[in-house]
Amino acid sequence: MSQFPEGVPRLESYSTIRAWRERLGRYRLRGSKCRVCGALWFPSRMGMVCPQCLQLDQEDYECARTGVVVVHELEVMGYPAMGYGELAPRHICMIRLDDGVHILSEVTDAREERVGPGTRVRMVFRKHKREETGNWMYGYKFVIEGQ
Amino acid sequence: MHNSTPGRRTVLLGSAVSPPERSVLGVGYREYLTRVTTEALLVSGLGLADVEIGAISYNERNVPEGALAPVVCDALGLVPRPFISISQACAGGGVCADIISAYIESGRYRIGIVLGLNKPDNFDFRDAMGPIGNWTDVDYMLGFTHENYGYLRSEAYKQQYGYDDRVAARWARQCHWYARRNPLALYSQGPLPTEEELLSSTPAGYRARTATGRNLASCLVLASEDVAEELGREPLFFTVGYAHRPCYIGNHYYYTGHPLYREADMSRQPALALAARDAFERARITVDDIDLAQVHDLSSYDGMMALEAMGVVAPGQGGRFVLEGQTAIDGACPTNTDGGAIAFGHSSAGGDFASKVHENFLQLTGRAGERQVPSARTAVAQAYGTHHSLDVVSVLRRQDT
Amino acid sequence: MDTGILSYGVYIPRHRVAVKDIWQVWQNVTPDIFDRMSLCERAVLLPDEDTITLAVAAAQQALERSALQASEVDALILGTCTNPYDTKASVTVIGDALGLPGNAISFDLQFGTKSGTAALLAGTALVESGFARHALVIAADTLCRHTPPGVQMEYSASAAAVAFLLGKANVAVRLEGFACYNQDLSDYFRLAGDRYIRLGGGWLGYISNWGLLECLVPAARALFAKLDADGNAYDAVCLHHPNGLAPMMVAGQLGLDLLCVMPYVFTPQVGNTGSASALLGLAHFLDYAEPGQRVLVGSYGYGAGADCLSFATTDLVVANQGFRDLVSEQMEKKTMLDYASSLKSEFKLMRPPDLLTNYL
Repeated sequence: MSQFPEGVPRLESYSTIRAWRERLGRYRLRGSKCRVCGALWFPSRMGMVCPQCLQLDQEDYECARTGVVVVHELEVMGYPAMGYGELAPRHICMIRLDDGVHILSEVTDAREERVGPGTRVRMVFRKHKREETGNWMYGYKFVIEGQ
Repeated sequence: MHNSTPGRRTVLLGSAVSPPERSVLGVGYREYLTRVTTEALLVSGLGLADVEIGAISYNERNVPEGALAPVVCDALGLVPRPFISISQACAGGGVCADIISAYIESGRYRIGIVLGLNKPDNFDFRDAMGPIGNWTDVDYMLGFTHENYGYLRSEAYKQQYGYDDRVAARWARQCHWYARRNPLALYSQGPLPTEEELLSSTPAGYRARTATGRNLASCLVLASEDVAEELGREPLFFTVGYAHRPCYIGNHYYYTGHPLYREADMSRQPALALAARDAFERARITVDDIDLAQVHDLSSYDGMMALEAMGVVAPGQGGRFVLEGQTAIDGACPTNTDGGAIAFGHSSAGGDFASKVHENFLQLTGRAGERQVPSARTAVAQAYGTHHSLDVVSVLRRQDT
Repeated sequence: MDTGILSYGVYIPRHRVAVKDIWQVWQNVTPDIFDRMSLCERAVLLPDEDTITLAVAAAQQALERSALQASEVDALILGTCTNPYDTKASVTVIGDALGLPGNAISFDLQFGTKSGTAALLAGTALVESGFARHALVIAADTLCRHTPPGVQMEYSASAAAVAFLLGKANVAVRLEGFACYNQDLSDYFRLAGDRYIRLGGGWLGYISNWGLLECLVPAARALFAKLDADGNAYDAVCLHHPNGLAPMMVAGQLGLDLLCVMPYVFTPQVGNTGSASALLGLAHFLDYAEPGQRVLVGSYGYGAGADCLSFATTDLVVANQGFRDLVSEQMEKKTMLDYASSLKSEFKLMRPPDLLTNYL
């Protein structure tokens, strides 16, 4: 912000409360599991309905932390998502975790490595873009397994 | 003109889309919508006083006004009439049209308008659009937008069926061919891009094979079939079907909530198949009746996946269909005769649905000029919202002979 | 003391910059200094890394290498002088990321670059007193991000994290004793709100080791007196190494065998890892240690003070070996970055503060 003390109004800001509420999904891949039919869900459907059996009985479930890339994009389109410009180009991947859950994530620490369908990856904890309050935000990313 | 008879079918009386402009910064959205509404009513032979109900499709994060219906209703001088606002991304126009159709078919109203608005200069465009229709906690907030979804979907399709970018280049070139014959298209002029340009593996090449954004306002005028009769117009029967798919892209894999989705991955569009099935059934057509199609090609591969999901071609055959030239004007199914999202322009909630219906209207009324598909009687228009979290299919057809 | 180390974990960032690349831009020292100070490469943080992410990675490894569940950890302490947060706690982020119970005793702790050993001593006290069954203590620093461009410390300032799981039963390494030495001495500091670390003395020469020698030497002498030992009693000596020369100067004053000191100086590979520095040496020693060995750890922190800790390995030390990602392996696995990219990556290039579009 400039040296002038007048505040710059922002019409829309995500609340830090939302980031707090969802943090264990970001930090620990916490999804949910249907107590009735056993279906696994990520993102968590806690308090929501299981689409498989239409019952309302979810429990917390932590997804597998390793998996395999099924679809890959090296994002070179020239307009990275806001707050992710320092890392461009990013490896954006659809990952099938070892428990069968599919997750969209970024494979980081792989500037020189080949990433593509079949690459084994494991979850790591990294810093993401800032919350709109200016606070740091953390969450999952992936790195090549064994790296 | 109140109280039509229940069971009457919905017809499209007229439509209008705004001229191609990359930016309309000097015009507010109220004026922008007013222009197309008056034009569409003129085409329909009606006036504002005849409008009984309206609906508008917009992207909630493109306007600061949280509830758009009262604002637009007021701008058009339609107060106190009923008005509905729908924020359901690029395919929201289809949902609006379905609601208005249902009102008309129920007999409650006879004439309604469906507006679409894409004029994203109130907020930073890409950021505002990023979270639309996503499960934002774990995608948008972690730096992924539906544009990433789109790229991955294309990759999944190529991977699944062994296609490379030659099919995309061919698709894009065909779209440009049509666009050069459509004065409303963003790329209505200039030389056709070469296959080489369209095949380039550079970001510029990628962009050439994917949609180009444009501002757009649209208006469809829907009415009960007896209104067309009173006006002495040939009725064009209009039907919409739509279906949803999970918001989170990971749940596009083997989603167990519906049998059709169980074996699907990103390269198959089961919601689109359901929407098409519904629309075709209610319009009493089969896929063989389709004379031409407008599909939502945010990337060329999206267009092929759409043709497959609607049943125009078998799964995996979309690419071959394109290479054989079957989407050309003399092909088995002329496709995206307006130029599609790639060359007509991608206008999200403003017209990704309505502009396709507008093109079908021009085609079925013989007003499509150099790109006219001869003796077209049945045309379909398809649009999806963000990443097929919403799929819409509409059918426009002339009277059975 | 019954308390000791059950398991440990280490994280060294993958990306490195060569000091020569930095020197090409600044040429602010005579390049022969890199040989004399054993400086060659240092770690660079990617934009998605900071003290917290390093700490989580090291702590995760320590937990994975132990038989303990996260729910059995009653205390969590982060020792760092490069905390991403002032005012707010960082340790809560780490606790949630690791899945530790919310009622674990948790705090951030700061004493310059000896925050790690301070955390280790605090954790030991909690376990020894019975306040906690097990304590997870983390030493993590990211000096590289907090060192201004164009100063000599830029050649060495680096980042790493080391975590230890402490307990009373089944310890692999027992803490025999410790001694501290502290005094008010402003060699390196940041005032509240400062972006970069400032220097009180100098970056080079004797003066740059001013605080280190003034504190670490008396702390070590105090420990020797306590334990009735001398430098020759140790199989390994892991000293704080802001550069390659400083630990040798300490060793000289204490009359230590340089061959016990040199293997635990990592400035050529990763530079000065701050609070992790001396403990990185301990982790490396433990990767290959045998039962019945003794190791001396001497940390130093700005401001200034030193902790000296004497450890003895037990028969269980070998149970902690044979894992992947040993210290030496993490040193080897690297991706080099050029200097311009490392400046961008560590947020040292001026940028507009308002992020209004995707175009940064």
